Order: sequence, then C-alpha cells, then structure tokens
Amino acid sequence: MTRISLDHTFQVSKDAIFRDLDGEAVILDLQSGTYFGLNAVGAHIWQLLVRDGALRTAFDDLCREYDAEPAVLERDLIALVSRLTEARLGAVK
Amino acid sequence: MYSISDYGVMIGDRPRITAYAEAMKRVITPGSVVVDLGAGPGLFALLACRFGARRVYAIEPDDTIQVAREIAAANGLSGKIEFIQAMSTDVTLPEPADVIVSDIGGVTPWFQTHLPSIADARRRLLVPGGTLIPTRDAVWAAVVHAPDLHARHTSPWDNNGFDFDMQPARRLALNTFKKGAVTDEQLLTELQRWAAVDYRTVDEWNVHAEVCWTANRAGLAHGFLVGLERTLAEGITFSNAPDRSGTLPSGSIYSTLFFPWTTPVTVEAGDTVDAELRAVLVGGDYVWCWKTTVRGRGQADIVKARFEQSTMLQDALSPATLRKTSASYVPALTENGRMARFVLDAMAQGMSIGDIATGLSREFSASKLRDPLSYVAALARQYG
Repeated sequence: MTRISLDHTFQVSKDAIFRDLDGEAVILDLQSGTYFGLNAVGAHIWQLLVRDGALRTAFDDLCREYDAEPAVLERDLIALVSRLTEARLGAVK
Repeated sequence: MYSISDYGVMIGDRPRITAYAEAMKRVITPGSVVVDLGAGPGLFALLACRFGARRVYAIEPDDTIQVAREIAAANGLSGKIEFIQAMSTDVTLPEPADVIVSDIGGVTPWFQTHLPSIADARRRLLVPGGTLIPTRDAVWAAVVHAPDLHARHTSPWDNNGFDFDMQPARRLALNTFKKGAVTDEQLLTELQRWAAVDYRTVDEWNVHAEVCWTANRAGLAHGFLVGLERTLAEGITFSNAPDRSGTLPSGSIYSTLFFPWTTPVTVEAGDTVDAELRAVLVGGDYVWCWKTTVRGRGQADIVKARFEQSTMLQDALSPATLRKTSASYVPALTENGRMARFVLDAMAQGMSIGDIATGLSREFSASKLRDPLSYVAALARQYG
C-alpha cells in the first residue's frame, strides 16, 4: 500500500454523500451502504479535501486554523486520509 | 404496514385490479398452484381460486391476514387457500408454485425490500419456468413545469407568515420526493425511459442510471417526474404516464413521483437536461440521489444549473442521532434497553407475559413503566 504523504492528493469518491450537523458529520458510502462518522476536526478536513484534494494545501490550511504542532496536524491529516481511503471514500494519487 | 382503509383504496383502484385479474386469468389453469405474495386482505388469492387454481398460498406478515381468512371463509374458499402469516423469505412451501402474483412494491420497484423478496420467492417458491405477475417494470422520467408540486416542498417554509428565515427546514424538504401528478401540458420534455426491472431475472437491488432530455418547449422547470409502466403479462400493461400512453387515472395508488430541483430553472426549447438517478438499498430502505445538470441549447460547456440532492439529507437529525448512524459508534444500553433485555431474557426462559410484567415492575422504577403488561405484550408481539 502507498505510504501517504503531503505530496499526495485525495480524490473524494463519487459514491460518498456527506452530511454535516453542528460541525460533526457522517458520510454514507453508496457502494457498501455503510456510514462513516467524523468528529468536528475530521469533518472540517473532509471539506478542505473536497475543495482541494492536495494534502499539502489542506495541511497549510490546518496550520493556519489550529494552534497545534505541525507534526501533530500532519500525522492526524494523514491518519484520517488513510482511514478514508481504507473505507473507499476516496483514493490517494 | 397498511390499515384496512389503505387496502380499501388499493382494491378500489379498479384499472389496476382489472389488469391484475386479466393477467391472472390468462396464466392460471385448472390445477395451478398459486402464491399470493403480500396478500393483504387476499383479493388475488380469491381471484386465483375463481380462475381454477388447485391450491393457493396467501403469504402476509401482517395481522390483515386474519381478515383475508374471514373473507375466504365468507366466500367458501377456506379449503383452497392456505394462509401463512410470515415474511415470504421465512416461508417454505410443500410444493412449488406455478404462478406468483404480488404487488408489494411502491411507485417504483425500488421500495423497501421488494426486490430481494421477489428474487427470493422466484428462486425458492416458484417452479422452474413458472410465471411471475408482474413480469417487468419500466420506469420513465420527464422534466416538468410544476409550480404547485414544487411549492409543496418549499411554501410552508418560505411563507411561514411571520417572516422567519426557515432555510434549514427548506433545505431538507428539497431533498425528498413526493407523490404528485401533472398533465401532459406540463411536460417540458419527452418521457425517457430511466431504468427497468425484469422480475424473471432481477438479482440486483440497486439502480444507477442516467437520463438525458432535450426540452421541446420553453418554460420554468421545477424538477422531474418519475413514473411506471408495468407489464403484468405479455400485452397486459398499465402506466401512469401523463401523456396519452397512460392508462391509470390520476387517483391511482400508482401516482407519479415528483423530484424537485433546489431552485426552478428557466429552460428554452433545445436546452439539455442530464440527470443521474440512483437508489441504493441501505438497511431496509432506499437512499435516493439525483444529480441534475441543465445546459443551454448547443452550449455543452455552459451550465445553466447544477443540483445534487439526496434523501440522505431529508431527515431532521440531531448530532446525537447522527453519531449513532456511524459504523464506529459504540452504543451503551439505556434504562429502556435494560428493560427490553430483561423482558427478552424472561421470554427466553419461557415465562408468561403476566409474570414477566410483575418481575419488570420489581426491577425497574415505576416512572419508566406506566403499563408493564402492555410494554411486555408489545415486545412479545414483535419477538415472541
């Protein structure tokens, strides 16, 4: 499996339907019929990835928006993208 | 489940019933074994007897089957019809059927567990080469000018009478579809076939298909209409098409469905409308998605409007409920859950409803249990 880095882009699946509510979100994968829950940060990252799939762009946005160590943000971003990819809610290129 | 008055409306839908009766008469011969799948009050079972069936199995999970039994008795047909109160997927018959007749779908074939149930019955309950009524469905769609139908989604929120901004509710309301009919003067495009199901072979519960229309006249388009052409047997069909090919009256239970667009769009003759419709069975019901793109005449690269809508976005949800839809959610038993577990454990031990209710009253606070006997009886009806 590809080791995901900030140099990759994430293409959101056409089978994913996103619904947010007060910051949290759930994504329905129409292929499998399963729901994938996201907390507030995860929901925000998903929306960044929908806007621009470049992980580095999303990372830069997160660094501006959150008062956290860049290394932590990078780790969290890549962990989420990895989980989304495993759940077939998108593909890394 | 339907009420007896709902069944009355179905039986009163005379063109539909007449078409079913005609199809049954054609295929049922003396000696036939017939299954009435989702029998309700049992009209198709009675008709099967009238047309000469040797044996009829009327399968219906709801208590309405008791009414069907009484109607059969009133007509002297109790000896010919075996009533089975169960889901058809749980039924095994002593002999395969020559004919299975059913009308358990909705306005389209993609309704609850209709398709898996039909496919299961075809595989397990029907003799090889046997007859299914209906045979197939074709589903058509057309872009429509339908201000009244669109207003049913938006008007309560736009015109709430107090000038409040009720957009959050309006957004939900535009992600659902409703029954609704139009006249052929309201069609802005031809009817296009969107999808079809052949019950003799169907083995796929979901549908994903595109349809492309060219507007044949100018007008304000509010969404598209979806309807059905059902073939019960070769040459016996009914349709709810609003053009002249329709055979069902506007009051039929097979009403057309109106899928609203987020906002109405002015289209000119020659404009093109592409729609991607999709229905996916999730749990016991379908999630519908419809993506629409409207382009100007001869301007494939100029988009006049684009909408993405889904019934996944139609329901009011709290954040707590939203969390519970996720596969990763770990639920904990509430007081109600502990009460239900107590009752189910007691049922598994073979206790009577009265004894379970007494035990329940001892174990749980009175404030939670106003009527322990009714509570236990309700669970027993469902799981006992």
